[in-house]
Amino acid sequence: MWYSPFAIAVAVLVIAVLFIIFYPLGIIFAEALLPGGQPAFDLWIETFSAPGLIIAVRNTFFIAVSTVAIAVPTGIFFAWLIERTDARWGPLSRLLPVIPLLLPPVALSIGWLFLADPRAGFLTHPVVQGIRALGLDVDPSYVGIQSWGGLVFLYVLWSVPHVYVVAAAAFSALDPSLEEAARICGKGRLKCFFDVSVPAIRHAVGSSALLCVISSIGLYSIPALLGTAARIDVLSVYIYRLIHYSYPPKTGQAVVLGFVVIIVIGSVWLLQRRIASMTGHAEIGGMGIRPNRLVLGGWRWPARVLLLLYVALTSVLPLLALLIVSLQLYWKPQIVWSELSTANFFEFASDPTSRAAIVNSSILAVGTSTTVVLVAGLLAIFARHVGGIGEKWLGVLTKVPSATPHIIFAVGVLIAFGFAPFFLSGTWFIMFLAYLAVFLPSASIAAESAVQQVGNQLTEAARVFGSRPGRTFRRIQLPLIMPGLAAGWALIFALVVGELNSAAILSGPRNPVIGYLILSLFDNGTYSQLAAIGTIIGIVSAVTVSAALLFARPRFGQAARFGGN
Amino acid sequence: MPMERAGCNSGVDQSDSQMSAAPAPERAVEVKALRKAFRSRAGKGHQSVVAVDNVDFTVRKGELVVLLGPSGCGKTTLLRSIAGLEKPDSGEVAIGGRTVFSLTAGIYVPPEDRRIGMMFQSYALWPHMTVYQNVAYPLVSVKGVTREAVRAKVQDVLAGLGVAGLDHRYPGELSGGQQQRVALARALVGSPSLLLFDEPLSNVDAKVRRRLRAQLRELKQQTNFAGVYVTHDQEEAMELADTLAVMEHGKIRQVASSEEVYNRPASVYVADFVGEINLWAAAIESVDERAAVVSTQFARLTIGGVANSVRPGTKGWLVIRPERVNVVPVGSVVSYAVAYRSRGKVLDSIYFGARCEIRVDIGGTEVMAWLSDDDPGRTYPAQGDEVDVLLAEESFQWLCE
Repeated sequence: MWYSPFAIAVAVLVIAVLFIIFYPLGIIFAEALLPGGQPAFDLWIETFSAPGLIIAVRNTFFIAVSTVAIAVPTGIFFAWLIERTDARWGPLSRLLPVIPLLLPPVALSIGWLFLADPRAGFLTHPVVQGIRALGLDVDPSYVGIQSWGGLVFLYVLWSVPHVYVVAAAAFSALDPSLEEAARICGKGRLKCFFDVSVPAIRHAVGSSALLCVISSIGLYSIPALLGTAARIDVLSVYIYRLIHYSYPPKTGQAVVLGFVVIIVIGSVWLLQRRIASMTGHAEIGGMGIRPNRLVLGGWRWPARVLLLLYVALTSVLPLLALLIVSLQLYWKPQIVWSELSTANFFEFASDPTSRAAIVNSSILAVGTSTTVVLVAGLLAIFARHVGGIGEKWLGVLTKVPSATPHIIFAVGVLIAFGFAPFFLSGTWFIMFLAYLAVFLPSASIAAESAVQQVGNQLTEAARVFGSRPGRTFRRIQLPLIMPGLAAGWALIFALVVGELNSAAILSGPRNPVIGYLILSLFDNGTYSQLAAIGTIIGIVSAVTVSAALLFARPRFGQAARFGGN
Repeated sequence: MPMERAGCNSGVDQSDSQMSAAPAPERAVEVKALRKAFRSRAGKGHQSVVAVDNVDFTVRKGELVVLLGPSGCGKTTLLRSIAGLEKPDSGEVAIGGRTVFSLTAGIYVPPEDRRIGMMFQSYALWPHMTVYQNVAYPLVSVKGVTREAVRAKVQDVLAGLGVAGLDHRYPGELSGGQQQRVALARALVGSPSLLLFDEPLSNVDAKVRRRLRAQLRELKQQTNFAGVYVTHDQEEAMELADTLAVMEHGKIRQVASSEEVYNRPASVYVADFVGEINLWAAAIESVDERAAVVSTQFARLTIGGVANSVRPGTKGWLVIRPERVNVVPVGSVVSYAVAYRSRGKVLDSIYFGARCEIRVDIGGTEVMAWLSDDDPGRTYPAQGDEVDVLLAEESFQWLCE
């Protein structure tokens, strides 16, 4: 088996993937510690004595902590509501808290900009009037989105689905008798939640909190679009400015900061993985359990309204705002229905750079999704075959890029592949490489979960009946994990289309992608065109991700017959 | 282990002699000194669990050996090692005379090259392929077999199991019984020299299980395949086995026919696992040519079947099967020789239809008895009744451990 052509192809693939992931990281480490072969004391001193840095770090810290403090309890609460109580209605309601993932953070930010800008936001005026009617006088700029409150609000809106997904998975694997036992002992519903449900999933809680920290530190689009007006500088924007707003680009400092961030986040990430792995195997025994849902009684509809409100805030309202502004000639808070037109879209379509950006992004999205999903699928199957420690290491290695903020990884890619000896700067290929590495973790998670669901027995049966590994992969494993891979495909497609973090570093006039386009439109202040592209992204993402989620349901009969043990 | 046996011969034929008599090509499977341990991460630290502990095991051509034991005894690991799905830590495995695993010789033949058929616990029917595609799968990788030949063979096998006509259905559309038969068809279609069964009936209801067992038995009689069958169900084991191998903690405790294992168990573990047993701690008082005197907490009995070499004072167990315990109304006269008779009080009486299970208290000791309906006019004792318990000499057995 070890020398079959299939195994060799997989080995080559593994090496190529590892190269794409670790070479840029290695470059960052090398350039941060020994640029040009010399220890970099001057560079480090220069980096850390820059005046804006300490403020950026402080702000980032504050935002990360606030986000975690609000998003984690909210996400867990939603997960509990949907998975463990009768607030859930129908299987589709499971998707509710995930809907915000349909909208890329960039579209979320722009949408909320239109909704809550202190001067021109759609909601600002009515809300301020409402508050004044209560007798409180309030300065609009405090209520507006470009403020501490607004920024944290958006971070939270964006983080909650990530927490929810982890918590919901943990709750759904939980033995319902734990809570039932508490209820029989006379505990009220809320007490049951705090005493039994939450502690039972404490590892999921811990790991999602840490994931929240990691992504808050690395997030670029929200603070880039909204933080600057509020004079709130965060680390990711600071690093971006070092490269794009300085002449000559202060790449050295960016690399040093990137290095430090990687070390910090890397440690958090390892801690998170350790906590996540402490969750026992699924606590369900037997063929499947219908969990007895906690009856909320009179609290049921308020809970559902809360969930719907959340979806409205994160997805419906911003998308509506985007749509409306895209139909306006220029952004203004009063909607004059007679003036609405699709002129922006046409203007958009006629601009060569915009067209190029959309075409590039679409091709890049399709190419990246397909490649990364197939690679992840192959690696997941290979890892499962190898088993034991090999499987564990492969699992870790494919997730390493998630320990690095995308913007920093992009800096690494730029330095590693942009100049000698590859000279890929300004090409679409360098973006492809960056996306390949950056989205491999998501694809791997989808692929590993799909492989896990298929189970071992179906593959073992194929082997026992004479099927070589190549044939087993083609005829048995790949078809069975397709639905899971397809879900991953669509998710990554949507992510690439709206991607801003790496695009900010690697994309330019020569290889424009949508992310680059958005940043330039934002800088130029052409908000209505910004709205147009935001709407397009929003709708494309929503459609593809919904299609994926539908496609990913088990198709072949009851899940119980899916290979069992 | 060998030390204990030397001083305590329970007189049970170990049946090893049967195995070594068969010449090598007659053996469908031969396992020597197989050992497999798993590292478990349960709790803190890494512990090693020995699943298969130095096992020697043989299956003759045309013989169906059933591996019987509780969960965790290593029977599934042994089966999977034969299939090649687990790689043992040491030992040798040969299938049909061909070595497929040997640590010392560095041989490991992967499962796809072992040419065996297997039935999995969850059937492992590929849900995205039709019944026809599932059953044809083992044949499609064989060189030189034409499409028509494949089709013919598949139809043949399906018809033989009573599931013809399901070709175009998907496994998800079939009933449990149908799925089971399709899985069996797939295992048979390649005419393999060896069939392996990994608890295939454990996910099925009792009535369906009975029918499927009968079908397997019939199939065995028709095709006379060699096979290894794993189960924890003692009844199933006895129904299907040509030879029964009882396992505990990674070791095979006894290998013999069902009758032998039931009537002459090699150890208390086997006696207790296969069927029900009454068991009392006992000690040998004296031994002579014909019989031994054994004392237990409730009696001194004279029993046969104890070897001369057993020394007085040896401790062991006295066992008797519940169906050999006779319970009669107080004072009844019986025509056969009785080793022991005592009055007792019925603690519990459970009616099972074909038999009645009774627990009787004879002066502080509990005895389990199974009574069956051999006398139409008879009524079973009820809870609280006084009865006489009769134990015949030849019904007892002495076991060392």
